Amino acid sequence: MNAEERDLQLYPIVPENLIANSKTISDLHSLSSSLLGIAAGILGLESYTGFLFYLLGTLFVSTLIVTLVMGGKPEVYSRGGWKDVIAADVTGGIMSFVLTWTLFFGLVRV
Amino acid sequence: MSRSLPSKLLIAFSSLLLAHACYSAHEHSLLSTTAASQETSPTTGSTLPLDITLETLVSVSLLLVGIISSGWELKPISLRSYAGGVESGKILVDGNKKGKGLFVGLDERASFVDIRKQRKEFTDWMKTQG
Repeated sequence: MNAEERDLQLYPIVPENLIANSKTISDLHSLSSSLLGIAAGILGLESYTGFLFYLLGTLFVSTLIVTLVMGGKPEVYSRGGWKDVIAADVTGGIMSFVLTWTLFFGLVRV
Repeated sequence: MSRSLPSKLLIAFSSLLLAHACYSAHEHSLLSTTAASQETSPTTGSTLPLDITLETLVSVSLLLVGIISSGWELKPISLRSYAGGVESGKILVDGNKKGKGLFVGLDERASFVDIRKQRKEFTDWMKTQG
């Protein structure tokens, strides 16, 4: 029995709450990344600046989640702490970001 | 998830601001294409005025704050704090009352059944049936 298994035996977790929490966090991330895509499209960002904008926006959203939803204590609600909050559903977030980014870029500029 | 009134107002206000910023950016791009200025190359049409940029950034950050602060609820993952919260009534699970924990099914079992008494009752009932 290694250290992590022993830790789980001593301090058991509730898997349903873990799944529900990570679903809520990834919902928030995909919702906010489409909004960030709208902003990037209006600003007319291109190539690397757009992805840098997404990165900064995701960090902003993660700090908002940690402070407003979790009350400054991320390790109570997710196993990995704030790292899990930042890394939640990155591929899906980038997909919806690029979708609304290109849509609003085309709507505003063409 | 129940939205509070301030976050609803914040979401409504910042959506209006975002729509206005989008419309202004569209108008600005139209303006810079119809103003037939020969010396500007077509790539300079993508530079927005500072006020539209600021309006977009402010409205999106306010919208994110409004959405995230609108009553999303997370539950603690460690069994200790979750079971304690359920039993003390801080966390409401469907139809649960204060003082009833997660293991209410084990706490409130029926006690031992007096099988002889029930058998006697059954034979009495059978006799009355004829």
